[in-house]
Amino acid sequence: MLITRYQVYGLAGGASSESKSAEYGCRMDSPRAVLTHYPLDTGEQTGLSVKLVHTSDLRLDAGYADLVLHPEVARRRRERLREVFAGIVRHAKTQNAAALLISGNLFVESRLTPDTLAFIQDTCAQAAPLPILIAPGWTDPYSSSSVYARNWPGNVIIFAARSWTAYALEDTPLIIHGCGLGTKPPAKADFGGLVCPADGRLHAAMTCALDRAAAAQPGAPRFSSDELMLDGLHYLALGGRHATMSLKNVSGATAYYSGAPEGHSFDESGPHFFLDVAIKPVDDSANVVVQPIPSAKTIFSTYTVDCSTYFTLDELAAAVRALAGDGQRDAITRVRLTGEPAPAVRGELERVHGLAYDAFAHLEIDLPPFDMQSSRKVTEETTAMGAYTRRMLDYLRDAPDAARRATIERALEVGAAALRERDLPVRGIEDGTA
Amino acid sequence: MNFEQVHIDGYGRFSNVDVQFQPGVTIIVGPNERGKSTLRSYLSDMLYGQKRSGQDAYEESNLLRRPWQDHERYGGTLTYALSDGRRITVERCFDRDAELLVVRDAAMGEDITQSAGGLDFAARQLGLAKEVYVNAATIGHFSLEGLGGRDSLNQIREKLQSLADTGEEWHSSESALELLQERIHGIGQPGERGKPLPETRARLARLEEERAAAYKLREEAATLRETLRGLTEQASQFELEEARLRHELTAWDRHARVLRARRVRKLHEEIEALTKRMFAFSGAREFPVHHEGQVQQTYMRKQAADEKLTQSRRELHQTDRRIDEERAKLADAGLTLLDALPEDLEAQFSDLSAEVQRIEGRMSDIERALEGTEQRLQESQQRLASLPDFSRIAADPIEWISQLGSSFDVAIRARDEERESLKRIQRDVDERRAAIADNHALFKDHKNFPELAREYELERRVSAEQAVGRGHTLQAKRNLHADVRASVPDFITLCGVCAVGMLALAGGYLYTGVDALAIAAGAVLLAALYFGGRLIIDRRRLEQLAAEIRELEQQTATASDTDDTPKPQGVVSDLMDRAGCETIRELEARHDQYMAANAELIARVDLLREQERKTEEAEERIPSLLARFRDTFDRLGVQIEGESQVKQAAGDAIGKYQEYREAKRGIADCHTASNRHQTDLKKLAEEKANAQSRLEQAEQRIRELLAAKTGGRPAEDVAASLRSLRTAMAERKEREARISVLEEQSVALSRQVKADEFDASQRDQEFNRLLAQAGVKSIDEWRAGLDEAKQYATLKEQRDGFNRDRDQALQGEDLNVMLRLADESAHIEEPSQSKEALEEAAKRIEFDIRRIRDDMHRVQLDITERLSRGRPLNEIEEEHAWALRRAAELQLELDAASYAMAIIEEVSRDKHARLAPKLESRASALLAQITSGAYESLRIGPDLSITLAMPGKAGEEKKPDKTLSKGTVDQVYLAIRMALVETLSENSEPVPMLLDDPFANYDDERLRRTMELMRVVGEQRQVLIFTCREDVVRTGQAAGVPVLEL
Repeated sequence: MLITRYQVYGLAGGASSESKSAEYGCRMDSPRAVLTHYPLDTGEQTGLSVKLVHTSDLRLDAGYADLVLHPEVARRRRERLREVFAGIVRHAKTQNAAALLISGNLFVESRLTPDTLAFIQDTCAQAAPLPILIAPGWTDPYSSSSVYARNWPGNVIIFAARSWTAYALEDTPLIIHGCGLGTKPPAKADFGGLVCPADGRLHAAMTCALDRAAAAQPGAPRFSSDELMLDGLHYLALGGRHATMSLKNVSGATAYYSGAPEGHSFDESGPHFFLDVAIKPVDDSANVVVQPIPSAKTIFSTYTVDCSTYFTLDELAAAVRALAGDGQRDAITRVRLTGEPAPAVRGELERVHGLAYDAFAHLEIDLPPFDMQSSRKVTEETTAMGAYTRRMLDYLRDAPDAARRATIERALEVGAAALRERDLPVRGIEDGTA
Repeated sequence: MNFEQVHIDGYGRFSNVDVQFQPGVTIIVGPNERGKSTLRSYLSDMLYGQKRSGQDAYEESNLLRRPWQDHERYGGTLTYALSDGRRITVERCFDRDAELLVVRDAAMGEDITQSAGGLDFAARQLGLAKEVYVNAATIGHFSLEGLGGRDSLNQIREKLQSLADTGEEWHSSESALELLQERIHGIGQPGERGKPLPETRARLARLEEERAAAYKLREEAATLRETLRGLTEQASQFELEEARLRHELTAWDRHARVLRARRVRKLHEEIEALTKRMFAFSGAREFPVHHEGQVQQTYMRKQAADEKLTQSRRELHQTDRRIDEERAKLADAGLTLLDALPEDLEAQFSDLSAEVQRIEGRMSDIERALEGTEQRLQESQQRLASLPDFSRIAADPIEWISQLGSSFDVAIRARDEERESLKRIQRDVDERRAAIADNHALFKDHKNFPELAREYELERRVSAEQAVGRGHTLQAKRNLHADVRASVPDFITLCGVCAVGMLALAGGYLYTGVDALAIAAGAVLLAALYFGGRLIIDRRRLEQLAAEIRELEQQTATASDTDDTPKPQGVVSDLMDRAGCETIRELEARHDQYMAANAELIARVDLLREQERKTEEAEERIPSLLARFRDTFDRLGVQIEGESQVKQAAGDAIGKYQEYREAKRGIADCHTASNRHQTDLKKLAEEKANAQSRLEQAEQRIRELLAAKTGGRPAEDVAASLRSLRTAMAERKEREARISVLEEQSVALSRQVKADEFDASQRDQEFNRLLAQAGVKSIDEWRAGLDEAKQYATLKEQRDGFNRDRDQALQGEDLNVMLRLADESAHIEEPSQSKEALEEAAKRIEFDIRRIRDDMHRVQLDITERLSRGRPLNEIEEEHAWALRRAAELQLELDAASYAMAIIEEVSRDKHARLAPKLESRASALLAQITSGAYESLRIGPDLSITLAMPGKAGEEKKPDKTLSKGTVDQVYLAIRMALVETLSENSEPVPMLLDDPFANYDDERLRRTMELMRVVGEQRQVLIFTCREDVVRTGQAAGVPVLEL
C-alpha cells in the first residue's frame, strides 16, 4: 500500500496535515505549490509597523480550453477566481493594510470581458480608501488602448510607466516603487533604475518579472538574483511565478513571489496563498515579516491509486471519492490508477469515473497502460479468441502511429470484452462525462 | 497425457487421499456428494492452478475448494505420464499465502518447473489454455441439460461455436458481434439523429461557427483599439498644445492686471478732481429737482386745458349751423311723399328670371354632350370592325392565351431541364468511370476475387500456424534432447563407479574368500549392467531425438523458405503486385471499394439511359406544339416564325383582345350616355316653360303697383322702373339720418364745454402750489434754480460712475495694492500674440479635445459592445475543447468497435471454416459407432451449422427436432465434443477427457456401444468417466472398462 502524505510547509491555519486520502492508500503526486522559504510571524506587531497585502497572478478570465474542463466547471472556476480576488481585497480592508500590492497578471487582457472589468473596478472602488497598487504584467500589459488606460477608481494606482515610478502612501512613511510592463516587455528586467534614497523612510517595490531559475514564459522579462542591487529597499513584491517563494541572495531586502492565489493547472497542485507583509522600521533598516494566507477556493491535485488493494469496484470508487476532500473547496483532480486489479475490478476500471466524478468539480482518471502481457498469454489459446488477440497484437506491432495504435488497443479491449460478453463502458457516454 | 496417481493433502472434502488411475478408460463411481466433481476440479487445478489463464488473480474456487478439515494443507500431488514416455509429478499448494508449484521428472525426481514452462507448464504440454481444457475436455451432465427441444442442433452449434471461439460454452463470436453492433448503434454513425457522436459533431460544427464569429469580433475590437490608441495619442498632442496656450493666456492675465492697475490709478485721480468741482454748486443741493417733471407736466396741462375749452366752444357753434342747412335741403327735394314696393314681390321676380336663364344654359350643355357621344360611338364601331371576333374563341380569351403561352414555356423548360440533367448524369458517369478505371483494370477478370482472397488468407494462416506448431514440437524435442543428454554423463560415472566397486569387491572376495563380498560384487555388477543399459538406451534415444530434430529443422527451414514468399495463389499475388498492396487486407479493401463504386456506376448508367429517354421525349414535344400554336395564332391575326416568338405572339394576341374588349365597352357606354342626354333635355324643356309662365305673372303685378304709386302709366320695362324707385327711396333715408347725427353731436358738445371750464380752473390752482414749494413765483425763476441743481447732480453722477469703474477695475483687490502695482510696473511688455487669438486657439483646441474624447468614448463603447456581443470566447473555446475530446473519444470507440467487429468476424469465420471439416469427419465416425450406424452422416458447415442425415432416408436431411430423441441429441453432442477435443489437441499431447455422467438418456445398447467406443478412444487418450449410476458401471465392466470406486 502506497501512502505518501504531502507536506504543507509551515502553514498557519492552512490545510490539515492528516489527509483522508491516506486512509485509502492514495498518494499525492508532486505537490508543487509549497513554500520554499519564509520566516514565520511569531512576534507581536507594534503600531509602528506598516502592513501590506501582496498578491499577483490572479489571471482573471483565463481560459481553460487546454485543460479540457467541462464548460460549466471552467465557468465556475472563473467565478471562484473572482471570489478569491474579492476575498483578498476584503482581507486587506479588514486588516487595515496600508496598501494592497498586485504585482502583475491580475487578469488576462486578451480574454477580459467587460463584465469582469466592471467587477474588478467595483471591487476596488468598494475598498476605498484602501490604496490598491497594480503593476501590469505580461498577461495584462499597459498600453494606451488597454483597459488600464481607462478611468479607474481613485484609490487604484496603476504603474503605467515601463520605468520605476515612486508613489508615497499617505499617513505612512512608506514609498512604493512600481514598474509596469507594456505590450512589448523587455527581455531583461531593469532593476538598475530602481533608486531608493536614504531618506529615513521605508521603501518597497513591485513588478512582474521572472528570476532565471523559473521556467521561461512568453513575454516575461528575466533577471538573476545577483543582478538585484537593492540598497535602501526593504521589500520587493514580485509577480510572475505561481508558487509562493522568497528569493535568497538579495542583499538588504526581502523579496517574495506571492504566487498565484489559486492554481491554474495540474502543475500547480496543492494549496495557494497571498501574503501579509509587515514592515517595521528598526534603526536605519527594517524588520520584514511575511505571513502566507491560504486563499485557494479550487485545488488542483494529482493522485496515484494502487488498485490492486481493492477487492470490489465500490471500494475503489469510495477511495477515489475520498480524494475530493471535505467539499469546502472545489477539487479538480487527476487520479492515476496503477497495479494489477482484483478479478472483480478487472475490466471495470472504466466505471470508476462514473461512480466517483460527482464528488469533484472535475475528475480525470488515468487508467493503467494497456496490458500487453495478459494479451500475449491469451494468444496461446487455440480458440478464435486467441486468434483474434494474435491478429490484433500483430496489427499493434505494425501500427504506423500513435493514433492507429490507440485504436487497435481499444479495439482489442472492446473485442475481448465482447467475446467474454463483458460490458465495457463507451468512453464519452457512459463514464459520466457526457 | 495419462493421469497415474493423485495424492490429495487437502482439497474440499478430501484430506490425505490417494487415487490411482489406469491408462485408457476408467469409470470412477460413487454416490452423490462423494467428491466426483471435486476430484475433477482437483485435476484441473493441479494442472492449471486456480488463476485464470493470462491473469494473476485468483478465481473464487480458491476459497470454495479450501479443505474442510485441515485448512493448512491445501494442495497435493499429481503424477501423469506424457506420450513421449516422461512421467511428471506436480506438487502444488493452493494457499494464497504459501502458494507453491513444483514440477518434477518423476523418474529422476528432478525439479523441472522452469524448463517445463513454470505456471504455464500444462498449457505448454497440452497446447490448451485452462478455459479451453476445462470446457472442452470436460463433458458434464450440466452442459447437456439445456439441450433438446425443437432447436437442439442449433443449441449444439451455439455451444460448439462458443467453445471454438472462446473456450467457454456461452460466449461465441456471434454474441460478441451482436454486442459490438449494439455498441456501434449506441454511439451512432454519421447522419444518425439523436446519437451521441453525430450530435457531438453537429454541436462541434456550431461551436466552430460561433468561435469564428467571436474571433471576428475580437479582430474588430483589436482594430478599434488601434483606432483608440491613435485617438489617445492625438488627444495627448492636443492637450500639450492646450497647456501651452494656457501658459500664454496666463501671461496675458498678468499683463491685463497691470493695465487694470493703471486704469484704477487714472480713475482714482478723476474722482478726486470731480469732488473739488462739486463744492461750487453746493447751494442748489436741496432744490426739488425731483419736482421738475411734475412742474413741467402741470404747466403743460394748464395750457392744454385753456386751449381745449376754446376749441369746444367753436365746434358747438359750427354743428348748430349745419343742422339748419340739412333740414332746408330735405324740404327742397320733395322726397317726403315716396313709399316702397313689397319686398317678396321683388324677390320672386328676380328668382324666376335667374331660373329661366339657368335652365337655358343647362339645355345648351346637354346638347353639346349629345353631339360628342354620337361621334365617339361611330369611332368605336369602326375600331371593332377591324379586330377579330374574340367572342367566338373562348369564354375567357386572356386565360386561354396565357395558358397556351405557359404550356409552351413549360414544355421548353422541361426540355432544357432534361438536357441539363442528361449532361450532369453523363458527367457523373464519366467521372465515376474514370475513378474506378484502375480498380476495374485490376478486378474485371476476377469476378470470384472474394473466394480467391479467402483461400489465399486461409492458406497463409494455415502455413503460419503449422510453422508455429512445428516450432513448438521442435522446442519440445530440443528440451527433451537436452534433458536426456544431461543424464548420460551421470550414467557413465555410475557405470565407472560400479565397475571399480565390483572389481574391488571381487578382489576382496578372491583375497578373503568371504561370500558376502561375492554377493555384493554381484549386486554391484547388476547395477553396473543396469546403468550401462540405461546409458545405451539414452544414447539411442539421443540419436533418435537428434534425427527427429534435424528432420523438424529441415521442415522448418523448407517451410520458412516458402512462407517468406507465400505464393499459394498466383492470381492474388499478381493482383497485389499490380495494385501496390502489401497485404491482402489492402487489396480486399480496394476490391470492396471497386465493387461499391461499380455498383453505383451501374446504377448511374441505368439512370443515364432513363434520362436520355426522357430528354428525347421532351425534344419531340416542342415541334408539334409549335405547329398547333401557329394555326391558333393565325386565326387571331398573329404570326409565329419560331419557338422564341410564341411568348411574344401570346402577348400580341392578348393585346388585340384587350383592344377588342375596350371597343365593345366604348360602344355600350356611348349608347347609355346618349339615352341619358335625351331624357335630360326633355325634362329641362318642361321646367323652362313652367318658369317662364310664373315670371310673366310677377311682371304683371309689379306694373300694376308702380302705376298706383307714381300715378301714371307704368313703364314697359318693369326692371328699369323698379331700379328708379329704389334710388329715390335711398336718398331720402340718407338725409334724414345725417340730420339726426348732427343733433346728437350738438348735445354732446354742450356737455364738453362745461367740463373743460372746470378742468382749466383745477390746473391753474395746482401749478401755483408747486411754484410756492420751490420758493419762486414764476416759471422763469423755477427754471434758473433747476439748472444749478442739475449741474451739481451731473458732477455727482460722474464721480459715482468713476467710483464704479474703479471698483470694477479693482476686481475685489485692494486699492492701495493696485496703486502700488501701477507705480511699480511702468515698463511691462505686451505679449506678442493677441489674447483674443490665444483664446480663440484655446477654444479650438478645447473643442478638438472634446471631440476626440467623444470619439474615444464612442470607440470605447464600440469595443465594449463587440466584446459583450455573444458568449465570451473562453466559454466557446472550452465547450469546443470539451466537445472535441468527446467526439474524439466517441470516434475512437466507434472505430475500435468497427475494427473489432471486422477482425472477429474474419477470424471466427476462418476458424470455423478450418475446424468444420475435421469435426465433421471425426464426429460422424464417432456418432456412427455410438448409434450402430443409424446416424452416420453428420454434416458441419463452414459456419459450424449442424445437419444430420436421418436413418433410412439417405441423402435427405431433415430438421431433426421432430425426430431426434433427447438421448440422440446427447450422443450427437458427445460425438462433437470428443471430436472437438481431438481436433484442438491434434498437434500436441493427447488431452485426457473427463466425462461427468453424460449418459443419463442413453438406452442400454447405445450405452454399451459408447462404452466400447470409449475403450477404443482410451487407446489414444485417457478417458475418466465419473458416474453415480450402476447401469453405467455394469455396462462398463461388461466392456472391460476398469472401475474405480470413491
